[in-house]
Amino acid sequence: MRKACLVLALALVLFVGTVLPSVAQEKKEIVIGMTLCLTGRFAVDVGTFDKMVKAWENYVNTKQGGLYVKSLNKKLPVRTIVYDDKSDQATAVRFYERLVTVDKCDLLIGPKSSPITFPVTAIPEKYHVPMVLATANTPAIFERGFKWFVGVNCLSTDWSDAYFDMLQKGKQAKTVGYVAEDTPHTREVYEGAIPNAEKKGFKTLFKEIAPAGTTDFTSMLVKLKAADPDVIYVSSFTPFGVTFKKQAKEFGLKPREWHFTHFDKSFTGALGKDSNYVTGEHQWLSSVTYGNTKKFLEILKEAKIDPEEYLDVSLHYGALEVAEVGIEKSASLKPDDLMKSLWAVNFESILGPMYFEQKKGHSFFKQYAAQYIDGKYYIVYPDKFATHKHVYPNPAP
Amino acid sequence: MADLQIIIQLVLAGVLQGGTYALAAFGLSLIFCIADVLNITHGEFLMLGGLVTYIVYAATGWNPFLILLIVIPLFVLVGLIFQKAFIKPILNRPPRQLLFSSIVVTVGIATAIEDTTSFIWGPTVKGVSFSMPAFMVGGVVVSSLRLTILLSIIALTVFLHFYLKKSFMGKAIRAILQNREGATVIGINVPRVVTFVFGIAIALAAVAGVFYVLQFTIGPFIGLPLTIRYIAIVMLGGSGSLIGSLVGGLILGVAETFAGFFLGSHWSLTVAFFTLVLVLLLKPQGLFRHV
Amino acid sequence: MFKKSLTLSNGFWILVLIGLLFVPKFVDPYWVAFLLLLFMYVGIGSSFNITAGYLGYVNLGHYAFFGISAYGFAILYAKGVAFVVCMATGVLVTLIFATLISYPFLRLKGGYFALANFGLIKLFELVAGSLRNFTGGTQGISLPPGYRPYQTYYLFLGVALLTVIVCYWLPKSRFGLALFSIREDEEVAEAFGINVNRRKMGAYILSSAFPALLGAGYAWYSAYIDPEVVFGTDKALLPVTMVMLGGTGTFLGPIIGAVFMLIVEEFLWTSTWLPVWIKSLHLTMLGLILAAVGIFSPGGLVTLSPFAAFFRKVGMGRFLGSSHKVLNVDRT
Repeated sequence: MRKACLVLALALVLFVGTVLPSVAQEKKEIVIGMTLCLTGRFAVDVGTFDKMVKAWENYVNTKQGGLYVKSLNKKLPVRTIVYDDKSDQATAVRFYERLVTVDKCDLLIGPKSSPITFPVTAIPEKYHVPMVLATANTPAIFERGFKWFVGVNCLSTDWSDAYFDMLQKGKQAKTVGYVAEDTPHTREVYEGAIPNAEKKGFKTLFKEIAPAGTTDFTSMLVKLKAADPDVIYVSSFTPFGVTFKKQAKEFGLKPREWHFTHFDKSFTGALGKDSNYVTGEHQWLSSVTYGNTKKFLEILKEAKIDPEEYLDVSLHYGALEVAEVGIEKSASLKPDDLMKSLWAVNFESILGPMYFEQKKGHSFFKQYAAQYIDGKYYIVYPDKFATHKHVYPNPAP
Repeated sequence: MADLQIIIQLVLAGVLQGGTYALAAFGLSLIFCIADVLNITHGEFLMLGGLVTYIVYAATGWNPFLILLIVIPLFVLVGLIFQKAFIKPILNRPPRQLLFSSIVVTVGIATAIEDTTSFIWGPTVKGVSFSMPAFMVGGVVVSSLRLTILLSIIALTVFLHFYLKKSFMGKAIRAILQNREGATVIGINVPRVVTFVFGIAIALAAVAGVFYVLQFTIGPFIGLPLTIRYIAIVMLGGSGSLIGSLVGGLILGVAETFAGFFLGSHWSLTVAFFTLVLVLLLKPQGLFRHV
Repeated sequence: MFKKSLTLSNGFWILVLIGLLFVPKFVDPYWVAFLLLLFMYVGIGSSFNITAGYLGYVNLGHYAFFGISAYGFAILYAKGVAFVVCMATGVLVTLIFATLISYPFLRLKGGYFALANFGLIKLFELVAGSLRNFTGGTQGISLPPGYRPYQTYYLFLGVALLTVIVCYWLPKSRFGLALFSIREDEEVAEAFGINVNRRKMGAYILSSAFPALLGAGYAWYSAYIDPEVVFGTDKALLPVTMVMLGGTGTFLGPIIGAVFMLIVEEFLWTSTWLPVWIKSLHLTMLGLILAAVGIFSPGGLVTLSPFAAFFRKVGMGRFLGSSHKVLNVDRT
């Protein structure tokens, strides 16, 4: 009997430990909640961002004294809550539900990846709690006419706009071979890039999609070698990209230019010399001078995150910036006021001029075309922030 | 002829691919056969082997084939510790319960390893920028890196084969595989041999990890999907059989490359798994039996 | 089926049931979402137990039934077909598939059976990803969005209840007894005149029905599925692990396993008084707990003395069923 009581007591303590703290407290702070893929398949991209969020919270509370709330005519401290959605939809939905109903968040930040964002956006829409999306960029998300979120990322189909603009101006490259990794995001980038490039006058000599786990690219490489395009454009994540490039080198593929849409430090680290002169896209590099970069860099330093390794950090940070501005410009913390303020946001964030398409909710942010030269990343287009001239053709052996 | 060249190219790639698979698979099959344990942690040791290689290479720049000399003894030790700590306690259970328990325990350890690795080294993928120039043989591109890997695997396989055939420990292992009670009767210290087998098997997985990181990239979470692929090969080849794992791996590797070329990359993995299921249905014990 | 007298144990279950029926009215929707997930795992786990625990065939690919039905449902629902028809189709397709696959697969034994089925999940993930025109490929299928936690809650509660009732009733039926005898020794069972093949197929197909219902329901609830979401291998191992954690000998095991894992996870992650580093390593903690249970509690949590003692004191001893006695086989 004693043992049974002990077990019951333990169960009760566990239960209370999880339920009690969630009893609502008096409004003394601004609560911002989100889930991040700290484990699971997307952890590669955002696994350390909880540190960035905490560093941001720290900065805002200690250096800014909190965020100003108009209706209270004073600053309130910010508290962030981050849950691990394990890169899983159902878990994410559950935790956003919790953020709204149990943790009583004033504002939500979106999760990583479109597949997870899709069902999650039903929560702000249902509960009327504002949400700012960070990385989600599938066009379909923005086509549903939802009113309770905005997103800081551009549409995935516009990913390489800047790059092809640059190539067009350069007037040297004429033909392109396209390869894509079969995941929703990289596919969309690829499908957006091809018509975009063709409209600009580039001829498509090859295009093929391969599954994410492909370990042997012989069939593709044979065809690519025969076609010999000027540019080989690969829309992929790092593992796929590295494997492909390594095998391409063995195959003796020597295009005038290599382009990899995600070429973070893991990519260049894994390839070493072979990644020299590779081009790609970056969301932010230290040469970009939009917005309050000093604050951003300080926060990154405290969180120990390298933006050249975690390319998405600027997007998640941008979402936090939008949250900041939205809150301070809002008439009150009431959901309707807050959402209205978010829609009306128009300021210079580290991502550039930040404002939203009024019917759909995505921003007009554009990726920069970048190139990796002798161990460093440089922006090569647009000229306003270019720190190096675009090197074409690829002089590497 | 251009077509023949391509066929040769594909066969070569498939063989190289399959060889790498076979290496890790053999360790898995050995464990399954000698201890009735389904070692779902196997892929994690591959990942760790690759991780150690990455760390050492980043610090010293040594030729990864030399780093093998560090990896092998290190992971034999790891395997021994792993077995003693987590597997030994559950070995004295009836077969079905053992299967269940081994799954629960190894899944638990695998999860813990993945999470801790991600915590310490970060969730990003890592690669090794070591490369070797490729060469052409009559229009067919041969990757010297992959060839070296394949030769290493063949050397290892031959070594293992003779070890199992000639050495005392090897004979003890085969004796246990054939007749456990009999082996105990003639005085073989079965528990000790089983522990040693774990050491070998996990070292093999780590070696496969070294070869893996040379060709691809590794990250904390690659373990589980890889374990599944290797399990597939074990099933295909028949557990406990060295040749079986090799053949199973080759079939899978070649099926992948051929399907990729003729049907489009989409279908390569699908065909591979389909082949597996087919073989299993026709020959439920796999293609080969014990060594 | 149920004893007529109002014993403590029956009262307990009735109370629990009533509680669950009225929970949505009184708690935050978050707990509704939490419980709904619990029901889903109880349903998948218990049905997995039919083949694994009762029949003795560990079907690691059990989750495939979930995914097939999810896709069957989603493909039609996206085209605007009525909910009930989609649901029925999803389940039907799964049952047909289970029937077709059962005969060849049930010829395999032990570990081979487990893994061949596991391979099946991976195969489905790849096929679903490849057949773009049919399944939407890796982009997945987007269903008309809608916020449906309450309906899904009751749907899943109903299915979980159904599964549990079947799992409770099975050991008392002739069919269940036949399964047990096959589990203990297949050849002897055959010698005693049991049509082994028919029973095995029956168990396999029966076990597929419940995850099928849940799969279709899940697709409806989340309004978006893709190959990774419904055929993902890490997810596929989850219900299996829960059942083995809880104990396979009895119908209580899967329930305890599911409850335990979800609550431990919830606690590890959301508790405000745990230090941060534990939260960062919550999966590690979970993994270690899993390994510990695997090593120290062979029959699963349900045989753990506090649990067993508790259940016996509350008069539910008979539910503990024929848990495996640990026979010491010399294998060290």
